[in-house]
Amino acid sequence: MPKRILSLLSVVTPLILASCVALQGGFSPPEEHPWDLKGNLHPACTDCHAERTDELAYIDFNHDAYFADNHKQQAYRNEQVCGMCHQTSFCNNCHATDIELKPSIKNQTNNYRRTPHRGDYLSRHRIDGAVDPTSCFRCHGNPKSAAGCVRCHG
Amino acid sequence: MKPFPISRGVMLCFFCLTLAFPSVSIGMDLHFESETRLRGFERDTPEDDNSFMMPAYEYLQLDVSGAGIEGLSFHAYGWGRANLGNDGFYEDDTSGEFLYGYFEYVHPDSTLNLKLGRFYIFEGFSNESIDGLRVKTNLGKYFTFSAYGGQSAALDNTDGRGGDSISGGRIAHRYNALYEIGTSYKVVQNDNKKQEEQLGFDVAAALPGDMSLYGFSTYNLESEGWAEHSWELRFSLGGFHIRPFFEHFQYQDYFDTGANTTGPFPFLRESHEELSVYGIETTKYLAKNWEGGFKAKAYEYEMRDSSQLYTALLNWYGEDKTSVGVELSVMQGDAAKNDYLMGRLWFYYDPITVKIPSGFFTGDLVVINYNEEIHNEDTSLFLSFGVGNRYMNGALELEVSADYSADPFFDDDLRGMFVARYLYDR
Repeated sequence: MPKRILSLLSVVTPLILASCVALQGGFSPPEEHPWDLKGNLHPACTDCHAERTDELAYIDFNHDAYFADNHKQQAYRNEQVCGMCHQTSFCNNCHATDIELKPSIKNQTNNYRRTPHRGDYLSRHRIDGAVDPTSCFRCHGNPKSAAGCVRCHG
Repeated sequence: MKPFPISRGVMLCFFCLTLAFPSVSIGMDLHFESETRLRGFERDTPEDDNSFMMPAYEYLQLDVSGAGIEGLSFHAYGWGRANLGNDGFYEDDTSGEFLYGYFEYVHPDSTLNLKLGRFYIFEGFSNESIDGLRVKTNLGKYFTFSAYGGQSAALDNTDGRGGDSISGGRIAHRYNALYEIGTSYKVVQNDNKKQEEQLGFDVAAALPGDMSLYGFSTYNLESEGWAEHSWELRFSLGGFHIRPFFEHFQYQDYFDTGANTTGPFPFLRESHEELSVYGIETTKYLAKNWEGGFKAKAYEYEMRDSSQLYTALLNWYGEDKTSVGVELSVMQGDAAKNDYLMGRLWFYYDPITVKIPSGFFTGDLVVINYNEEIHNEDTSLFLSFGVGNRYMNGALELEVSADYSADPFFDDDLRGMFVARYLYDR
């Protein structure tokens, strides 16, 4: 199967590369945001940008207090917008195949960030996991990221 | 003798390359970041009570661009851990993971983006780490396209890599920021057996009344059922930013459905349960530096007990990162054992003073009261404090933190951590 995929890619990729160089257009954000916003805990895009333009609904990227809880729709569709300020290593604080330290311990002094599993999560995960196991599976749904679960849950 | 894990070998090469890079990097843009974390805590082990553990973690990141070919860059990140304390707690004294390492090419005059190596994919419904190739580009003004192929990094410890593969992609049609409709596909093979095969549909649309609609649905092609629907609206009203949302999951199509599944959740698939999660989130800037938020979330099951979660928070933001926050959460429902009340109070103090020009102090308190006792305890207390300072114009940051926990699993657990973070940019 991998051979079949590679052979398919080897044919398709050059064709796509050739066609996309010819067919350009559409919005593409710059690789880096023109201003460094690292000192801003909750940057609001609409401080500078209009709420909605032909390019983007900037208002939906405002980092309000719950943005860390609900950014999946933005991230799944606009990886390049996130990438203007955040390198993948930032995402890897929570989303990664194997991270031994939970995000709130790894970044203990960054307590202004709403990292998951803060405090006594060993006790609380019994409840949160029972109430909504789909939220566990989204991150712990592969053999590596579930290694910690398997110790008790088999 | 145990074979030396590939990921640690790659990390070792990465570390050596990192050390060598400054000497050969003339003309390059170079970003190097090192984080050393030294933790200390006690654990009961089969041999000893209160045995002292001292794991040392090293996180290394390297980003290089401008190496001769315009648009070409290299990015790598990973971590390793060695336990310098007593044995008996960690399965292995050393551990680590090469999280990503890839070459990226961005065509200077187009939207063509190529990645080759180990990298993460966050698009459509995919949240994957792969060893392979991805091509992504706009096709004119109205279409975007991406495709990837290779091996899943998450499966390399399940009977080796032979017969493993992952491939997929997404194609979308959009009209400015008015709407975007996409469809995505992913198939994963583990040891020549299909692990998962899914089809996704996603929509982003601007609706009348300055509303935004976002959502995706995922169809499991193996079990032939809808695994997940996840949809939300976003709009503002009277200064409130409001997000009603709805999610629906069918367990037999969502959890570990592959014939060769290696995950720990197949028992959930067998339950044939269905879960609907819906609710509303709202935030509002109450004054210049004050932000308030409220969230109500309901979990409705076909067979099991339902629950509701309510949270409210209030944050104050000062200069730089100085901030204070308080949050209260209540989980309640049909099953009393799932009910709890949680409170959190935190601060981050980043004073601009003469004595400590760039130091910071942090504190965090989390208290939980469980409706029913867990291991004869109905309360959890978590407390942490940290202090740090920045040197060399912010290139070096040193911090020390300690946390204390008294909860159903630990009577009195005190842990400490020292962190040295070094940044090099040129």
